[in-house]
Amino acid sequence: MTWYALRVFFSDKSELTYLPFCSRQPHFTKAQIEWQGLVINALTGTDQPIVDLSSESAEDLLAHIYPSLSFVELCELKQATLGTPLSNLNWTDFFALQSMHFNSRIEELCSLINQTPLSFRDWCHNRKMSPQDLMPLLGLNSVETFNQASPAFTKLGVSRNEGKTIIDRLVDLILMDHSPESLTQVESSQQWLERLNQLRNPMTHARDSKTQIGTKLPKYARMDQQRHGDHMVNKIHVEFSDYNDLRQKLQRLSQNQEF
Amino acid sequence: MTSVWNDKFDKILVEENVKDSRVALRFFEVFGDKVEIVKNGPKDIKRGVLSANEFSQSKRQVYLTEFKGQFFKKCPGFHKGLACCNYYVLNLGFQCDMDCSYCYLQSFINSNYLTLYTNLDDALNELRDFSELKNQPLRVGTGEVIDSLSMDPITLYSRELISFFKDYPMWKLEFKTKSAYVDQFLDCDHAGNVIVSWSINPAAVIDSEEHLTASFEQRMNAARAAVKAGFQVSFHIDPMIWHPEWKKNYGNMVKEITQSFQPKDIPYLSVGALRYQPEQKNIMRERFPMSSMVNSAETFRSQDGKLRYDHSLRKEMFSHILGLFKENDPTWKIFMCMETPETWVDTFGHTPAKEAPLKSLFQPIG
Repeated sequence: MTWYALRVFFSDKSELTYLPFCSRQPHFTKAQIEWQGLVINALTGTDQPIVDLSSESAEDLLAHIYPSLSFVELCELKQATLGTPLSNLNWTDFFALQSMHFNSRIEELCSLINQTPLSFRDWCHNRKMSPQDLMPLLGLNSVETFNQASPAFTKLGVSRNEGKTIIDRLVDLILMDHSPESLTQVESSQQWLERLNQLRNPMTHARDSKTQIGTKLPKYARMDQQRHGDHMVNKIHVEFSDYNDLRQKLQRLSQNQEF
Repeated sequence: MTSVWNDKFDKILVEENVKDSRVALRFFEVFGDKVEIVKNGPKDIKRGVLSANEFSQSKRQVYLTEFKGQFFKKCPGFHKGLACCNYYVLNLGFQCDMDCSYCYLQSFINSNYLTLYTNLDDALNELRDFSELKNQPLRVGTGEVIDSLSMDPITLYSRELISFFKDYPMWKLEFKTKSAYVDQFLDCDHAGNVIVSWSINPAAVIDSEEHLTASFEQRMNAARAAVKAGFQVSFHIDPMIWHPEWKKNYGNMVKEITQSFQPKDIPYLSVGALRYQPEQKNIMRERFPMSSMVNSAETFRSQDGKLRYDHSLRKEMFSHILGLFKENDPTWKIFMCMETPETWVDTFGHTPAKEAPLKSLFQPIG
């Protein structure tokens, strides 16, 4: 968009309302932009000139002011436009300008995201959570219980990958009537993930535990048990000095001499 | 017949250029004034990703039109990493009027209308193009994205397909259904190459997860009627769904099948376990409660990206079913649908191509 080529005139500020939205990473233009009586770049109280660009497409203007919004910011912007001249914005086009899809599922998701606490939305923004990552929330009729567990995302420094699984497990467990307290009594994100997985998949957890070797292994051997998708993999690490040593240790292990 | 169908659909639309097709005329006959003629598609059609409500709506709105693409496609099981059985699919519509909690269409359907294609003749012409394969075995199924028979009392497509396949005795036509509608074609002449197959589960699973489908007893009765009329029948025990009483319930189901049918009546049986794309989990959770056996299932990502039960549990479930059939009669022919070669090896001790009675199913065609 070639800003300097547009006809610029000053409006009477008293007639204007301000869009209650400002991106977490504001992209300032050289002027306040007015669109059909609404200042859409939210710089209340500044002395910058106001440019009336009411004849321009609102989608293009917003995309110029906010060229790169995260998904939660898009949700917040959508909420902020309610009751303003921007409420009829073509969200499909505007989301597309932000390289995202918009459809009825995304619309429902936006509405839910706007009901979560700011701290959770900040976490989502910082972790670049996509609509697909947050889609499990649509399973909830209300985010009230989820909101009680949500401060843990920031507190425990949950990563995006951990967060995707945690959100999915939390939604399942909330729908299974687990209390928010029972879901968040943990001290690290890793512990949180493990606890939710155990609660969500108790039968598999019990099966996995059965395959663990109960007896202590000798000092030169260590056992790891890791779930790789739909497989539980048991690994024994053996320390050895040479092949002869390895052969002997494997023989002893296989004969269960040290189990 | 009308009373059965009257409450099933909220809206029935027929595209103007197909209003004189055989199928459209039957819809007018059954639904009368409820049928509306439209030009250039339904005005309120939604395209793309559907919300849970829009998906539910798509089961109650029918749209009759021509299909302009390719009808005949290789089964989606033909996929790297999966053992495949040379199965071709002929799609005569899109969406199903029944509502299984685990149905993959929930992450696949992109229109809020159940679409029925009226140009069956074009589909049959496409099949004629495969005539160079006339003397080779070929399996064609019609139940991939729409149930083969659940609307057949109206469309009567089965009768035309059976008649077509009479000229291709080396080919097999497979109807795959969860309905009990067979009466409309039992009097048709056929070349013995029509398999009427039922996706089957124990009554407890059907009642809990397979909404708007025929009951276990209704499906079994329909299968008995089909055998009596000289048709081959088959059962797809797929998806097996774990629940606390699974062993007992699947055991009773196998007992019922083996008491009612002989291995000679059933060319093959297939088994598969619950599986779905990860994104499907979201819409399932929105549409069905967590008390559902499917929503509460403990599933994990498998090597093809789908969510499945733990490998060792799948192995246990398959071995149980296979054991019950083989105990009854070792000549039952059973294969696993959309399973990894690894699961085949773990369950049978070898890959499908080496399972003697099934070898012909797993040879490449052409």
